[in-house]
Order: sequence, then C-alpha cells, then structure tokens
Amino acid sequence: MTREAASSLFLRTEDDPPGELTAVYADSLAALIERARAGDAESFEKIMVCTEHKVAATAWRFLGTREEARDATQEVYLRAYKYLRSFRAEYDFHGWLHRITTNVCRDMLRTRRALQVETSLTGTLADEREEIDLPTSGGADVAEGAALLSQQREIVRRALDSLPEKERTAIVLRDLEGLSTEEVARLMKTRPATVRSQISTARAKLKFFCERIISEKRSGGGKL
Amino acid sequence: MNCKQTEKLLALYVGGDLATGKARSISAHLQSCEGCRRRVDEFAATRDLMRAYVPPEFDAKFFEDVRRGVMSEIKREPPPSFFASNIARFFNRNALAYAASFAILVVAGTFVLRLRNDSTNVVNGPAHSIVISVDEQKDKGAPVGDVAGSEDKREDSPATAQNDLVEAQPHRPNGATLPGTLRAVHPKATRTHVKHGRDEGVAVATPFKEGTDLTTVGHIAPSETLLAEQKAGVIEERKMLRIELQTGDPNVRIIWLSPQSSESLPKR
Repeated sequence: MTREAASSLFLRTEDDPPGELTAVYADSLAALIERARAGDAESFEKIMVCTEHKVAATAWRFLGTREEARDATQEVYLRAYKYLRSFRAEYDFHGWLHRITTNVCRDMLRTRRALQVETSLTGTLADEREEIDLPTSGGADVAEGAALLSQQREIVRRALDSLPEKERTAIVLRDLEGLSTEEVARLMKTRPATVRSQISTARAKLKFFCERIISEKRSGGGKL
Repeated sequence: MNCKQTEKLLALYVGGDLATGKARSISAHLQSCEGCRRRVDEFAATRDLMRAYVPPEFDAKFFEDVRRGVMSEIKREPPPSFFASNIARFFNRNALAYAASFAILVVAGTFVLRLRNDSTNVVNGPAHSIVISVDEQKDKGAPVGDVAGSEDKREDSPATAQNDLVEAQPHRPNGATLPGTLRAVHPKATRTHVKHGRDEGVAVATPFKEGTDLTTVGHIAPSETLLAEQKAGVIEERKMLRIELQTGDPNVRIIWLSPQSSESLPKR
C-alpha cells in the first residue's frame, strides 16, 4: 500500500501534521489492530504503512546503516505480529512499538559487538561507512552541504559506536529520539537517576570524541 | 557553586536535565566564569552535531522490501492458535510470579528435607546418642533442668522417644567410651518414665512399664566416678537424673538434669 493510499484512509503517516485527523486516525488504527489480532494479514500491512517511517528512523539512529536499519525494521514488525495478541487496547501502540524497536536494536548491537566489529578511527571502518548519495544537481553549494552532512553523520556514528551499550541507548533515546528521562527509564527498565548518570557520562564522552576527531581532521588538512 | 561543582553538572545542564534550582545556580555561576561558559559552548557544539545525525530519506523501495519480507514470513507461518496464544499470554503475564513461586517451593522443600535428615540422623548415625546416667550430684536444691537453650524445669523424667531404639556405644561427655552397650533413643518429645537400675550409672531409657527392673535390661555399667564419690560421702541422698543428648554437631550437647527422690529408687 502506498502512502497516498494510506492517506486516503485517513491514516496518519510520518509527515502528516497532528490535529483533526488524530481522532480518526486513532480509531482507524485501533480497528486495524483488532483485525490484525484476529489474524487479518492485510490489516497488519496497513499498520506497517502507518508506522514504518518512525520505526526505520529509530532503527537507523541506533544502528547507523541502511542495511541494518532495514533488517531491524523487518524484525520489529515480525515481533510485533508475533506478540500482537498480547497487546491490549488500552496500551499506547506507538510506545509499544517503540519499545520493540529499542529491544531489537539493542540485540543487534550486542550481536555486532560480539562479532567484534572494529571501531577504529581509520582502516576497516571506512568499508562499513554508509554511502550517502550526494546530489548531482543543485550546484557546488548543495554538494558541499551534503558532503558536510555526510561527514557529520560519520563522526557521530563513530562516537556512538565508541559508547557502551547502555550509555548509547540512553543518549539515543534522550537526545536523538527526544524522549524524556522518565520515558527512557521506563524503556530501559531502570531508574531516572541512573538514566541521568548515563546521559551525563555519554555526553562527556561524545564531546571528547568529537573534538578529537575534528581536531585530527583539521590537523590532517581535511575539510569539515 | 564553584567551577568544580559546575563542571560535573554541565553535561546535564546543556541538555536541560537538571532540576530548576541547580540549573539556576549554574546559570548564576556562568555569568561570572568564562572558563565554564567555554565548556558550555563545547557541549552545545556537540549537541548541535548530534542534531545533524538525522536519518537519510528512505525511498519507497526500502519500505516495500521491508513489507515484502515481513508479509512473506507471516504467510509462511500459520497464525498462532487462540488457545496457544492465550496460554502464551497467560504465562508471559505471570511468568515472573510462577518463577518466583517455584523458586520459593524449591528452597522451602530443600530446607524441610534438610531438617528431616538432621533429625533422622539421630536414629541412623552412630554419632548421635543419648547417654542417660544417674549421677549422684550435689543437691542444689531446686530441680535443675539444664537443657541447652531450654527453659524446661520438669521434675519428671525428660522426654524420650517411645519406640525408636538404636544400639550405640555409650560414652561420657568427654568422649571416652563406657563399657557395655547402651540403647540410644530417638529424642522425640514423648514423656516416658525413666528409671535407673540398681547400679547407679548408665541406665537405659526404654518404653517400659512402671516398676520394670532395669538391671535386666541390657548391660548396665556402673559409673566409676559415681561409686568413688559415693564412697567419699560426697553424694547426698538426693540423686539427680542426668540425660545427655549428643547431637550431630560435636560442639552441641544437650544436658538434662532432674532430681530423683530416694524413695523412688529401688533398693539394692
């Protein structure tokens, strides 16, 4: 189902502004969930259309590459389908899906670390770097802006890769996903004070890491 | 607030994660400290860099691939049955409670088994025995029931078992064995009259009727100490019934003393 088709059903997608369609959207989503719980696969596909952008974006923030984000998104929906019958109507579906996404990404990060992917500043990491399609039109400024964005993403990805799993999860949920400290604590099944401690440490490490990378690039003559 | 205190909180201050009071204190400090202001700017620059970490634009093909993979997997596997899914939901919901209950049952069962083993060891193990002797000890007036940790001051014979008898080597509290054999008794709390034999010393506690002549029951060895003390005239008429219970722990022995009036003693 395309996004246009989803919109025709008054189903909210990622870009739709909240407001007048929210109530209709909530009712439609609840109805879809009920039908999907009864085994209607088509209803589940419609649920995917409504929520896949957010899930993919969150997965990308955790994992950093398109391939892993795609695999994670797929796994999220497989788990959601498997456990849909345990989902209760009074729960927040988006929050529930977000929790599944976080858990799937954490599992994949653990697997990645177990495979001992090297996160050195040079060498093999260049092979794993995500390819960002630079625009071919728009002039030099646009291309330069895209290249700068690409570089910034790469720096942040490396910085996040250097963090321990819990600090990384806390900082992604808090600073990138925009959740409150209490929401992060609920997702991570820990206390808000612990989350604040992890965030504080993670921000300090990120600051140190990014400054070091930037100074090395500058001293190496590379543009940033 | 000084620079050292401020520096620890700057990471949270920049992200708006501090309580209002602390945030105000830091703001006040920053107005007069250029060093801390510079650090705040560095944190802010990192925060801006993080905000540039936005996901790329995923095209329609990306999501079509995801949906295709999910739907093919869903169609391949049959949907979970109502029964199976409800059972799964029931156990998912109560898994923690069941696990905790099971763990408690296992611990309680282990504890009960150990208690039973400890109590039955008195019957089975030669290390456990009851030495029952009639000691002619100096009368201290009121009857003494000197059971370790016990308030029992019964004048009657101490509690002994009715039926369980085990052959054991009698021994003194200091570990030296006494000649003859002794019937050890399971120390269950059953009141049974214990009489001493004509020869003061080691006696046997058995479930017998009143008036039974104990001298014919097993081998009864006289207590050498008792005889010596009797000859020395140390022992008074009033005699004490002494029961010692040696538990499996060599450091723990239960001693019960009870006065016996001379009228109840059989005549020599």
